[in-house]
Amino acid sequence: MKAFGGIVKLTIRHALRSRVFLLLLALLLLAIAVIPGTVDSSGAADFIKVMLFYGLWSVSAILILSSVWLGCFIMTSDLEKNLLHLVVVKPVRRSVIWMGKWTGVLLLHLLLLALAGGAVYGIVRYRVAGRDFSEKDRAMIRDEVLVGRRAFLPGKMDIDAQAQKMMEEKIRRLRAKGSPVDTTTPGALDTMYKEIRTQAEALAGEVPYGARRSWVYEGIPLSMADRNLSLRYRCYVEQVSTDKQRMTRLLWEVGVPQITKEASAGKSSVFEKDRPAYEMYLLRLSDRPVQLLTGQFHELLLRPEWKLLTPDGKIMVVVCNADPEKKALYFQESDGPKLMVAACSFGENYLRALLMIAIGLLVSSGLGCAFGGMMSMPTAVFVSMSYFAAGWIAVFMTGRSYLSGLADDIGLIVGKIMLYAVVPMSTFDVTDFLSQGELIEWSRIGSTVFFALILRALPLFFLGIWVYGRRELGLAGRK
Amino acid sequence: MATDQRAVVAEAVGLCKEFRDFWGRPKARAVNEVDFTVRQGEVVGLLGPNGSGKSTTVKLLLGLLYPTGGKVTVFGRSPRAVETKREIGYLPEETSLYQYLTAEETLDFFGSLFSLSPADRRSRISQLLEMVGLAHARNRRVGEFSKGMARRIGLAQAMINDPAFLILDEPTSGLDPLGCREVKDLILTLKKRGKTVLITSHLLSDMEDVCDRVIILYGGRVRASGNLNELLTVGSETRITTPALGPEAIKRLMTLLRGELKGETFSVDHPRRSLEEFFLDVIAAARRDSVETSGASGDGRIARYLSGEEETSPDAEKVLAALTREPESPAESAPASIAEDAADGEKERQQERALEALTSEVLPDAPDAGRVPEPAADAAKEAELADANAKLQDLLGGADRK
Repeated sequence: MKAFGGIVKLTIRHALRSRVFLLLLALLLLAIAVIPGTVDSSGAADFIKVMLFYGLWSVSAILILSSVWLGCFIMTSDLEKNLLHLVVVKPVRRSVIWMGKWTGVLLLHLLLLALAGGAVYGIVRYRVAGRDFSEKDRAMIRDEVLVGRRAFLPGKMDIDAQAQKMMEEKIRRLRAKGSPVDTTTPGALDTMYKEIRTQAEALAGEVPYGARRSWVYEGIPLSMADRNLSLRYRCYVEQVSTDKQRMTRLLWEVGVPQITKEASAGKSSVFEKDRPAYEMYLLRLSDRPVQLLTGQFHELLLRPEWKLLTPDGKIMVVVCNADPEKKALYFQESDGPKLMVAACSFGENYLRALLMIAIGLLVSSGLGCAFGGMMSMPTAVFVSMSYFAAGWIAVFMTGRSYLSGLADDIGLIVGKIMLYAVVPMSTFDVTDFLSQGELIEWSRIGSTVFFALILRALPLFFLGIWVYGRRELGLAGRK
Repeated sequence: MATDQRAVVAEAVGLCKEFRDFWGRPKARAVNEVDFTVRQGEVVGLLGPNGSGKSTTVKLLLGLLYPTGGKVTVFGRSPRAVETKREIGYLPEETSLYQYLTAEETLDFFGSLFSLSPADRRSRISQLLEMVGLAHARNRRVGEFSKGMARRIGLAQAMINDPAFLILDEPTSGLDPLGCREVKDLILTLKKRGKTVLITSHLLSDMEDVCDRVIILYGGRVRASGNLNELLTVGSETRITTPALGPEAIKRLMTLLRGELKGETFSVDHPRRSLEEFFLDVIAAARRDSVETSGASGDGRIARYLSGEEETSPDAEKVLAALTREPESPAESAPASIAEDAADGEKERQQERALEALTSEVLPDAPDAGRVPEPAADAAKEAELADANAKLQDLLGGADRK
């Protein structure tokens, strides 16, 4: 234990005295102070969101990259300068040396994270408490940003089934007209399907002028019936693009359940037949359509006294397009709309975000040490960066909503295989959640620890320790 | 010839090390079928020109390289075993230290690797810094040190654990003659305590001063090995060393030698002191005059825990000192300065008279009788020392001191 402590202390001293620590701290504080100021924001809440998002994102990005670099550097420099010869001939296991160096790098970065994270938190609190905002702005920031809200997403539409249905319809129509349908040329049907699927995707989020679009949220705990709910949404007018967005009008309605049959007395409501039956009635939230700017997030408050939660834990919302220029509105699947309910304080949510970044640092510093213990300096950093790139590519390859042809199929398989081995760094990025006031669930943190750290990163760490323990160090330091 | 009963500390049997390239193709065979044994209490020198396999052999002994053939053991175990390393001290050829640590922090770090308690570390660090003459630089960063000072810290770290087996790769490289002398004294002290030392060096005179035995490598193979006395004694020649002789005495001696040697060539001249001896005398004189220096300034004392002093009481020390004190020889009692020597005419005349008496009585019958030290006196002193040691071992469990 004394040897382990000695190596940890040595690693920290190295970073402190070689001014790496001060350099990183200065870089972090600069990023916190400068980057949020370079990004446009509209409105008070948006300003704080931008400050939170870019502040914490830049902190996590800088720390993750520096932890990889320092991990590689600490492991390789000792070896290349023949310093390790003096250490490994002492009665200390190489695994202890590896662990000591890793712990040193990690502790240093955790300290930097605490300092930089504290700075971001302090700046945000200071700005919110300052005189720049009205009381209304502050209330909005408090309700939408400085809070940890649990999010519920609507049930997903089966785009492929919808596209298949549309394609069959089109072929039947063409044949009815007597037009030829090419079913023999390779790729002809696939090309047609691709076009139709794109249309189906657009249609899934499209709300034509005067039309209604509904979303149903399921699995909402009945215990939340007495809490304020927020519907967070963003829509686009005419086209899904951040450019050329303007003011529009829309009308929101909510489904209010009316009980038609009470549940049998004394019976559990676990079984569907024992649950009370209900019918849904639509209730307008305003007499006239509300005006809003498209391309930005908005929130709609759903009050508990409206009793919107059904006995089976569902909530339904409906939007009606009342655009003054009679153009279609578009809702993207990634934007929800999300139904949100406050679950914890901002401080707690912020700590959860820092915890996720800390887990990311644990993984990234370990990767740096693992590769640094196996290879020499530029190679180790290059391989570490390639690992991150592989994670990013794997997420991209497996995240595609539509596959066209063999290349995409192979890409999907390769991406899935890669995800078994690599940990994408995006796994640890929760700054978007935090800045949107969305709760970072313990289940998410737990699953990250299990799948990213234990299942994927730890085997690589063990491999690194194993290679480091068997490496012929006298050979590496040979001149 | 009697078999050496001392325990084997390090042993290589058919040891081979072949370096290979990235594709596993052989590049060079640095060590080839090397066999040797190092026994407890020995000071063994590993000699050889550059590329002879010395450093590779040392790295194999330390577990930094793995053999491609044969076997190497240290204390009967693999050199890679943690338990083996507990007993080893190592000074590498190039002293690479953590530049950002101070001298004290450097030793503290290496002490912590041996799981020494903080109190032990503090005590040993102070003694070691005193020993290597860097007590005044304990809070200076090692990166600011000269090569010689770094070498001294390297030496100190090698002994932080009071090792049973010390491996020194070019230990005097980068050290001034004073430092070299101190290192050699240290090695001899460690030897007296029963420690085993393996040294590699290009400085053959240093090796000659301290080694019991040498192993000479060339091309990765052992070319010669054995006891230094056996290897270096030229049995076919005789050397007589006396105080300076007058012209008359030399004339008579020449006549005598011509008669004895019957036409064979021989020479008679004044012996020279080595430059090292002269240098050490000059420095000793400067120290007596309290001249300051910013470099290493050790007093030549060995760390107490290394010399075994920590285990002896002051009274026992006095007894030991009295028992182990060498009888004062004319050379030791002589003044430090050469100039003083030259001015001493009376002494020269006394020496001349002594030589005359010696050549007239001893030379014709016993040409080797003047060799110093006399074997009989040596044996008596050894017996006396062994007796004192035995008594002290019983009393204190300590060791003799220099």
